[in-house]
Amino acid sequence: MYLSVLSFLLAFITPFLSYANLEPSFTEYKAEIAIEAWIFPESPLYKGQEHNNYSIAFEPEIYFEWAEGSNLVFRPFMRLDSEDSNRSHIDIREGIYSWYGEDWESSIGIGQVFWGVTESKNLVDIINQFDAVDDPFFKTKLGQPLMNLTLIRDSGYYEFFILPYFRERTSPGKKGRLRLDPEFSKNTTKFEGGSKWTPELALRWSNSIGSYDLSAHSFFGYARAPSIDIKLVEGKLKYEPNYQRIRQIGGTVQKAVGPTLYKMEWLAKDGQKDANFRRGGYFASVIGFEHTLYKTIGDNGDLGFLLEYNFDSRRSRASDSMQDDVFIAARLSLNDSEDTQMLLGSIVDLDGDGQIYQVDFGRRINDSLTFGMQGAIYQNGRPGSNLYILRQDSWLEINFKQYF
Amino acid sequence: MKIFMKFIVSIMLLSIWNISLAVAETPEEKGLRLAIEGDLTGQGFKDTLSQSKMTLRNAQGEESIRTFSNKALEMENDGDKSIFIFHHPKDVAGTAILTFTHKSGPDDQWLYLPALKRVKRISSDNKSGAFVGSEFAYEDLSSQEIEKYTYKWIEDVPCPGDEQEMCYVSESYPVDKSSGYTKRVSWVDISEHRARKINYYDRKDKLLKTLVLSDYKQYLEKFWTAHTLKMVNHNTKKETDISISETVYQTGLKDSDFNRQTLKRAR
Repeated sequence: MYLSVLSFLLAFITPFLSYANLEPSFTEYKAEIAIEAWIFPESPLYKGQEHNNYSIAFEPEIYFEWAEGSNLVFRPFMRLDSEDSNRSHIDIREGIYSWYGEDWESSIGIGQVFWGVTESKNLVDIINQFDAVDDPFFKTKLGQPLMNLTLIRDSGYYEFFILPYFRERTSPGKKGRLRLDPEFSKNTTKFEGGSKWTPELALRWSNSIGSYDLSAHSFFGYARAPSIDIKLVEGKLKYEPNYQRIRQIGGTVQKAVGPTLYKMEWLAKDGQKDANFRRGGYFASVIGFEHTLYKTIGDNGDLGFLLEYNFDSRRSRASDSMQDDVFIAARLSLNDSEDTQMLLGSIVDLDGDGQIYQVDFGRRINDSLTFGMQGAIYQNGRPGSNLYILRQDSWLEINFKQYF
Repeated sequence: MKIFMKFIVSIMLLSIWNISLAVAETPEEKGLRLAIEGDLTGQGFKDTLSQSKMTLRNAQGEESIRTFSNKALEMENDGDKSIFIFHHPKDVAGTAILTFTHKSGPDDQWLYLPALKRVKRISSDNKSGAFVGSEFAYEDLSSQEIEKYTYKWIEDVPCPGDEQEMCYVSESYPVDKSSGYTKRVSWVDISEHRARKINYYDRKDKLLKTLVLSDYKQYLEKFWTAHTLKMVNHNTKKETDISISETVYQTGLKDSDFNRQTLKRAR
């Protein structure tokens, strides 16, 4: 089904390509291969789960640019995982044709869009679905079929999106960690008020005014996070993901004052089910700052402090586990020739529902090889909470990436 | 006739007064005048496009290479706009920095991270920070606006490394407190206002770095551009060379080529 939409989009693009039936003025081919070990020191809780995952990921990229003002990016992704069949997957991260003039840009295809300013979570970042099975930190996203028009005016950037197809969030399989028990049932996903093919719309305005970066958006479509239907099928418990149509408005504010960046994201959403399966409106925000001390570590190292507060008006009924949580982190950038970077962070639930500790380390080994280490420790989750489910699943990932 | 004589006398008096004014020009006034004259020689460049290779060398002599391209646009009533795009090493290829320099107040700067498709504002106070791990700070490479410093002329001496030319030595003091320097001492040739050497003094007023500029080429019969820049850090003994392989002036870049949308397309 998804493949047919691809061919449909390709058919749509082809006339534009033939119109620009000229040699590209610039082409670029590159690729990266990642080898990863994903280590879970504690025993798995649920039947079928394995201790450690080893995986290899391949991501080539082809880029063409035409001098008349258009470009094409094609960037597929594939991962092979030693344990979890859901983690072995293929996605087209980007496959998008864009054309642009002085004060506008338009694109069609499969794209990646980032909205947001904060670090602990990006509430407003709704265009793409997370590839949750690929990245437990929720930074990696699935390619999203879209049509976009961006207008650049003195009063700001105006972006219009039509999203013709919905991507389901990926989730671990029976052998995977970081999941519920049992794992999400396959092919039983429900789309309330439509199908995967029910179009979604998004509008966004953004601008920089003095030292302020501002944005506002509205969105009509499916919530990116599923709610979970619990069912008994032949005496067995089943979890089925269920996506609701929502209406959302939101925005971001960012201000730079000397070495400090103040950041806020907020949204008001209606239509999504909460943890008690009740549909309703709510308000959520992330507010905080990042303060950097330049050249304080070693010769050139920068040390940054981050503090953010995550709020969700549904509190204990929130579907999101960061509903009354403080994020504290230190970011170290050594600014050495290996680009050594490290983030050490902690998320503390003010309602007493545990803590998460995070580490994210990266360093270049040589011109085409990098080393990375990420990890999380899940502690003291209250029985029944999202964090409690992960109590045995603290992890450490070690990866090497080769660039071509 | 009498009136005429009076006129002549007053003209003469005026010109004597003028000469005495010139003689009485303080070192600060002379420093500022020279800085303005130097700035004028660069005015009207409209835009430039250049390709650079940067070699980072540590105290043990181990080298690593960065390559980047740079687009710059001259603005009429404000500081210049620029985009840096990194090509090498490959893990940072596509990373780009957009800067709007301002004559007064902090600059605006955004970083584009291609892996996340994220445009992130950078605090303007990072100007003292190292530019991609090199011995160059952001402020060493950003557009040099007159208003960002105060000046003092020191002396005229033969140019370092080029005894035939005379250079003026002048000190400039950053206005912005977040600068990494208390002062810069520069040797600039009198004939063409080409900076030959700059010493940077850290916040404790100790000599921190020395930059030597060479391989000057003239473009459009007006604009002098150094093609080799060598920065030495006296504390760490680390060095960074920038070699500009190619510069093109007046390529027709427009204001619309310098915004957060084009930053995302930069390759």
